[in-house]
Amino acid sequence: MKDMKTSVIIKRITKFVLAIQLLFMVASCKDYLNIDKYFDDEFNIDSAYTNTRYIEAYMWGAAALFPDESNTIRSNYTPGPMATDEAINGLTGTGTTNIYYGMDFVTGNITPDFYGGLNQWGKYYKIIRKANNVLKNLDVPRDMSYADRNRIEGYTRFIRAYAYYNLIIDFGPPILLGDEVVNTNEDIAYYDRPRATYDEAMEYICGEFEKAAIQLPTDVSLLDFGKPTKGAAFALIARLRLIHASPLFNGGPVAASYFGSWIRKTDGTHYVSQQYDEKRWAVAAAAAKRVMDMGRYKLYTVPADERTPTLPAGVTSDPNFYGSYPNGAGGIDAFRSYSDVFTGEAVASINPEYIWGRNTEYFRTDLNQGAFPPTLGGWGRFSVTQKVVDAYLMDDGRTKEEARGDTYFEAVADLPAGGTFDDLFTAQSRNFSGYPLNAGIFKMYANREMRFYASIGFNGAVWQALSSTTLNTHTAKYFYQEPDGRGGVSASSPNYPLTGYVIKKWVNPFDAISGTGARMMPKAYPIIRYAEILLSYAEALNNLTGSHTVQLGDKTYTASRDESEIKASFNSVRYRAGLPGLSSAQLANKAEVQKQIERERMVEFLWENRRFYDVRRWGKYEETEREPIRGMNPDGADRESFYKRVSPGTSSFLTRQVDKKLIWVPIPRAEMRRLPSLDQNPGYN
Amino acid sequence: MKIFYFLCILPLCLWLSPALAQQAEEQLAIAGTVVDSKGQPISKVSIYVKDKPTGATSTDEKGKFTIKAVYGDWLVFTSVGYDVAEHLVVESTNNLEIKMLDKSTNIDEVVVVGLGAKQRKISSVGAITTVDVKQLQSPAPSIANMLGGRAAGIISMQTSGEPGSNISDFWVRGIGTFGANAKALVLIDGLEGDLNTIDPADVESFSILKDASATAVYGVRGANGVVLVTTKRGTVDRIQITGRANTTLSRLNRLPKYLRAYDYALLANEASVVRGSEPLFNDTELGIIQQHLDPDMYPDVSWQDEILNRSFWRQSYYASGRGGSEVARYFLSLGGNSETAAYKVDKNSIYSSNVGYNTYNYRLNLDINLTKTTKVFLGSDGFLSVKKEPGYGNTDAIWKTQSTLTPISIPLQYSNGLLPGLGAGQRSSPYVMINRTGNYNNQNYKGKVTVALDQDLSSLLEGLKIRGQGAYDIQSYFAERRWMQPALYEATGRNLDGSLIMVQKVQESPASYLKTVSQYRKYHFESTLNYEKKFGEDHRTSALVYYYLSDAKDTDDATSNMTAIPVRYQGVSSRFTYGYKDTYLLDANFGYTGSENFQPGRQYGFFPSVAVGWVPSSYQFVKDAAPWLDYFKIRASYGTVGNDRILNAVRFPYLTKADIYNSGVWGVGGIETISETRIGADNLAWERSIKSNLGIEGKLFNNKIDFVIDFFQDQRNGIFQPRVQVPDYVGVISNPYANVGRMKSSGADGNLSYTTKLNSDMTLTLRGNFTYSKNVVQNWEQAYLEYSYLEFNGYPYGSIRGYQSLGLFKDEDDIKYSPTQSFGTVLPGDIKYKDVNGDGIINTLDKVPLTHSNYPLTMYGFGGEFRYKNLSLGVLFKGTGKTSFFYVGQPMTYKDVTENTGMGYMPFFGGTDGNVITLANDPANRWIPRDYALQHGIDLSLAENPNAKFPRLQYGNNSNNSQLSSFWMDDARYLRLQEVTLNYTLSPKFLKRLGVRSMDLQFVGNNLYIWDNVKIFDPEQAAWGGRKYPIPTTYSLQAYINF
Repeated sequence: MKDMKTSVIIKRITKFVLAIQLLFMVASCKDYLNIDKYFDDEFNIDSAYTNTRYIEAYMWGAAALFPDESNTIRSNYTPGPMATDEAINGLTGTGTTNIYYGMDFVTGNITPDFYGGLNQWGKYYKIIRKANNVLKNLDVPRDMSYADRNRIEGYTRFIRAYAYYNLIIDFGPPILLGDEVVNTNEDIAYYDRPRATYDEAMEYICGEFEKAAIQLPTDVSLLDFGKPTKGAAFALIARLRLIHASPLFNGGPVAASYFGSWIRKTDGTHYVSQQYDEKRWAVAAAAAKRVMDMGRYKLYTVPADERTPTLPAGVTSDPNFYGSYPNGAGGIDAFRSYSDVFTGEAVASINPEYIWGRNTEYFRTDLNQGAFPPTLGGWGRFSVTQKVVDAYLMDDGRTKEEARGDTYFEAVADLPAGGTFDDLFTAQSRNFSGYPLNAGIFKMYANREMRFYASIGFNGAVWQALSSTTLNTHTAKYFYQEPDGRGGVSASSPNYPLTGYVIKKWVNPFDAISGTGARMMPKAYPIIRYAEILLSYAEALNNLTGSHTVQLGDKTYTASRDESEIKASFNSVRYRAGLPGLSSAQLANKAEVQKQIERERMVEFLWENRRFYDVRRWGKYEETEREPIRGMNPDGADRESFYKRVSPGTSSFLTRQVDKKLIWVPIPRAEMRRLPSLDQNPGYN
Repeated sequence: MKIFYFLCILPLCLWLSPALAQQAEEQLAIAGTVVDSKGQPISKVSIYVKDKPTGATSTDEKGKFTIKAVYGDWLVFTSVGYDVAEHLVVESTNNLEIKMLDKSTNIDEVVVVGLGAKQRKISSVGAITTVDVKQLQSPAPSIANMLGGRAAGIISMQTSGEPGSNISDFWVRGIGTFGANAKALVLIDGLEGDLNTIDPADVESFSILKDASATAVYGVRGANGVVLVTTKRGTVDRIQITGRANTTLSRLNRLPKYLRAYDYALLANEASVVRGSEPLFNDTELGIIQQHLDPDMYPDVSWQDEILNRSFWRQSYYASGRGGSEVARYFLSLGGNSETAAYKVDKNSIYSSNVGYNTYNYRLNLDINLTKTTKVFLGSDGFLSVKKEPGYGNTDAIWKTQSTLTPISIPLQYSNGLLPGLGAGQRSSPYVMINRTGNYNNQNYKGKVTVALDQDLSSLLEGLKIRGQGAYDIQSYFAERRWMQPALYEATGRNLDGSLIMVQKVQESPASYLKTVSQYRKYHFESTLNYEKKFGEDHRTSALVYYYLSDAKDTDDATSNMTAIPVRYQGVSSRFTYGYKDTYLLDANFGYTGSENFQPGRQYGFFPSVAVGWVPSSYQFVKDAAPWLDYFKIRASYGTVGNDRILNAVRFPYLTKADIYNSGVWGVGGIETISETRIGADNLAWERSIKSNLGIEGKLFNNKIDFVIDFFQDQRNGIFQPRVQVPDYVGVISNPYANVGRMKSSGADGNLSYTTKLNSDMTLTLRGNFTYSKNVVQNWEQAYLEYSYLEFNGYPYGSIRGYQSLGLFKDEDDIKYSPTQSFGTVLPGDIKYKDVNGDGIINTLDKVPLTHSNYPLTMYGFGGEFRYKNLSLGVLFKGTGKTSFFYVGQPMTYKDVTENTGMGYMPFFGGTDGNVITLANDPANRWIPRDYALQHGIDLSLAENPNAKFPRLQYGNNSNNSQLSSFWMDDARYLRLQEVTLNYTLSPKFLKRLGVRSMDLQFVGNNLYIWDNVKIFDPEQAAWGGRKYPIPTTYSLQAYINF
């Protein structure tokens, strides 16, 4: 019996040993559910932070989300020129069929529930989140050198600041997140938070651009044209500071009428300061001056050659006019100096006027095609308004009103006694700076400043389209029955210019859309160019009454209303266009200078997406929008009936709205519902 | 975690313990008699020594036997109709008397409770429906089709009658989640399987586990209930062979009736004229149509007659054998089934391929005793289905076309021999679809091999057993399509010479070949450690530890590195039961289950449950006071179960995925960028279902009445949903999935049966059961909504939303002073909707929930069986409670195609594609303007009928009237005479000479009659508006032969 018991015990021990052995054998079940091994050679988000290459790629992934800045007309970016008095478009309709969201905006169809394509609110925050992810993980990669880190951090801060920049100009003060990467899966109450005030946001964004500027490179290689530089950060600061100093946001009656009762519900603070602060103009001036002081940027000019027209004689308002550029308008070809900046003729990547710009395909596929006459394969309907045409000066610097009756006639009534209708048209053809001007042009289009010819396609203008061997040197005629006119296209098609003018600014003489060999010159879009800095500087100084000292970065700037400074910066823009500068009488008058700056910005930056913001910050949006859109009469079948100023009779014109709420795009309704503390932009519900 | 690893391997190692040595001992001779409860000897009782493979014997005609055994052996006596009896051998004897008790008097009846374990029914405290296998022997396409009305706790629905598609959907206690996986887990012999692959004759037991206590051990997979099927196993008995043959005639009884050409033309004229258009057919044309003078330009086709055979056949054959010895026992079955469909096939067409569905299945269960304590089980089964379809593939299109194609649009074939068609696809003729589009063969194979090892560990601890099982599942799908498209023409007029002007509508495409191949495989391993012991007389305990892991992959899902990762589970669960005197009962269970779908650290979910039971009928004083109460039990359970799967098969929702791209940045091309493609949520956990159940069951009046009622509530928390309320400013590239949804379902189910033996020749059984389940969505994260009634929260899942109809507009003034309806101009006689939000305009903001989903909340069945000597008659009715559906406007999805109903019901729904149902021909049923009635001799008392079934006609779709609204709502409740079975058992002497023990002849009628409101369509398919193969009535002759 005892033996048996022993054997049972031995047996049990044996079993236990076996069991332990098995335990180890099957221990692999521990990792049974672990799928990591499937991912070792796969890419996932953790990999994105593991080395410098990936974290930089992740950073560029954030930048890649920005809309193409040139997409101001059709795509989903910003209200753009179509939402202002500088542009109109025959293709209209509301709702999803209208792809011109600027038109939707200006007709009041953009609501918190309907955006067309303007809802970029979420997209900018996607960029901000990615940027915050980069900043949070900058210490993770072990292979990162100091220089790499510096570069990546600089770009990342720029990317984040630029996302906020876009938010504040289109949506108003954003929700500021700082460096926070907000949790993705929390209760709705966790997410509630208010917007910053306009002033808080402005300070934060400018501050971030300042930080970015320290680390950003001064130069990028030609191949990298488009990547931001220190100059881009400084220039955007200058732009923002000018907006911040402008009447809409800087106390006073305009700020009061737009934002006087707009108060943050969480703490009762005014979103937009109701106290005028002159120093903001000084900050704006200093910010512009800083860009000028960099010495890297200047206006693009082309030396005069045998095709350059001579400057008009007899100009007395500006004694320096005939001097050599930059001290006068002499020695350069004004037409090409301006036009080549846009047509691709001057390579943008080496153009000193481009503080920040980018290459874009958009001009080939949309903007130029929208303007080209249908005969040449375009749509012929990206129209410029009569107001813009009237804003161009005569080539001797006079306004059209001043020139009326001398060389400039608009109607038979303007003619000297006995004048006939035929006298309203030129007799001679001209060709200057490579620009062919037909004979028989309505005199409204004769003897205008060079920027007019560089920018506007009018009735009788020549579309050279030289790269095409079959469809070229076409004279666009917009009379009703002409192939490019309203009736010629087809009564219902919108492919005709509503106003009789189209945008020709980005059209190179060689650009062609159809026909054998049709090609387009590659083009760039100036996100911010030096002319703006010059005009901003003049505007900021002009608004000063006292002297102010401003600290920007490690430099101190002193600014006051120095007429010679205003004159120098303003006139260099005028001279480049072949025009005389400000007279001393004008310079002495602050209001006159402001008026000249406003006119100058309108024509200089035509369709460069500045006017939308300019008229608003000046507090003049309601005034400029109330003036009816006018143009020539597209229903006119002959000269007599065509050359009449009429309001285009289409629904897109008739339903244009003027409303204080149209300062900004509304915040999406869904976002409003989620966040009880969020205040909507004024005027939207 | 350490403990977990230990638990998961413990059962593994234990069953490998070496078998115990045997000791040779002295043989004892035993002889005796086996008698029944009345003392009558029983013949052919199998007798064997327990756990010894050799030496089995059986009793002779006088019930006598002799056998040899050693001291301590158990003798086992088995015979059909009796309980197993056992006898412990202690000495030699020659006059042992063994009494075997009738099965019916047995109180140790068992139920299958999961993990292959059986529990005595008396001590089971889970909510379990056991279905009598005898009731599942009906000649239905699948066992799934037999559950509704037969099993308490099941809601079922059948949407097609087409062979191969005619399988019912069913849900245990209704639909409990709006996330993924609403379907029950089906386990065949413990392994996940498909009810459609199993022949009912293979089934040994069938039960449905409904509450947390019963399903907890399945952890993850049991959240929606578990259907447990065990198949027959070999027996130590002489060989039993069963053969079954049946032939079934199916008949389509309910087909919607459509107008013929002349009536159609008259109504088409009305539809045009009452909307201000010219009549479509002038009097000459009407004459031609009425006289059938031009069958090319003005055909008159009854598409149903042309393409359908009302009757079709099905045959099925089945044979099984079971038997074996103490060493090895086997069960083997083979089955085949062939079914044709109702489509008329043109024998002349070289592509003719009748739709047919053939299936073949086998099953092999083999039990081998390796040693006294070790058994091996080997199982294998396979199911092959071959489905033939026309090359067009989607046979639903045929039904859609017959319901929409007008009699007058195109002829069957033009007189010049060209084939007609208005367009491609569903706009061609069903004749072309069936006969001229080539053929399409689908082969689907599902097979399984499993090996299990049972080890009795009584040597370690009495009552301890361990079992390990591995299984390999393979499914393969192979479809071959030879598709071709003949040129189709439409005649647009006649030339001067009278010949037809033919316009080609569809170009010919020569035959093309397409194949689809996919495969699914799954490994499964499980191991169970079982302990069962009765301490003293009163304490029964059992404990069980179960471990499993599985790994499945489907080539259809595997489209990327991520989705190719196999679906894996690993879990351990345990059950502990305790019973005191069969009066106080306690079950405690837990499942600890891991899924690869969660991030490490959150992969495992713990799902405990507890159940208690009390059997007052066990007390002596109750027995004295209420002698009629044979058995009464109250039980309650509470516990949790989990789900880890996300809708649309989103895998690894915790992972944020990223990809490398080459992008342009500010116009600089070719820059390497990285971007997230999906944002993961880091606090994901298992979706949990908290189930509670209260049940009572009992037997009354000498077991004549047997009843069970269960009340249940299922609270689903943490249902996976993509977040939609994460604000945009958070900046995520996509919204993560999260455990945000909540839903509650509750209800009751139960059954009642009454059995009585009227006399020795006659027995009567009556049965009834019901299931009621309702649910409410408690939290469904939605983007902001204007009004609370637009939310899903607070309404049943799948609530159908539409406009509230206020009837038909009476006159122009009624329209003028009513809110504007934003669906086009309205005229008197069009449907008027309620302006719910009072904003003066009827638009989508006025849609309110009109009813719960299309699925019935209540399902019931009742029936009975009457037996007289060898003849028995069974009857089964099944029915549902209120089930709303909409004739028009409801989107119905099938095979990823969603279409609004209305076509085939609403006259002229699609213009030239708009058939008209005969119902509309009765002027009383449609709204007719008074002046039109006056001009066309229609009884004026029927004009402008405010209660008309159809609004003012329109040729083509009227977008106002075809909105989903309560105007079109009807109740699809039904009561169906589901089955009548007449069975005659023969056991004549002459058959015995052939070795046939008995033979059953059966006549079974299925779906014989329906009581309902719908009338024109089968109520189960009502929402499809006649676009489905109807559920046929079937008559079967079935013979069982037992050898």
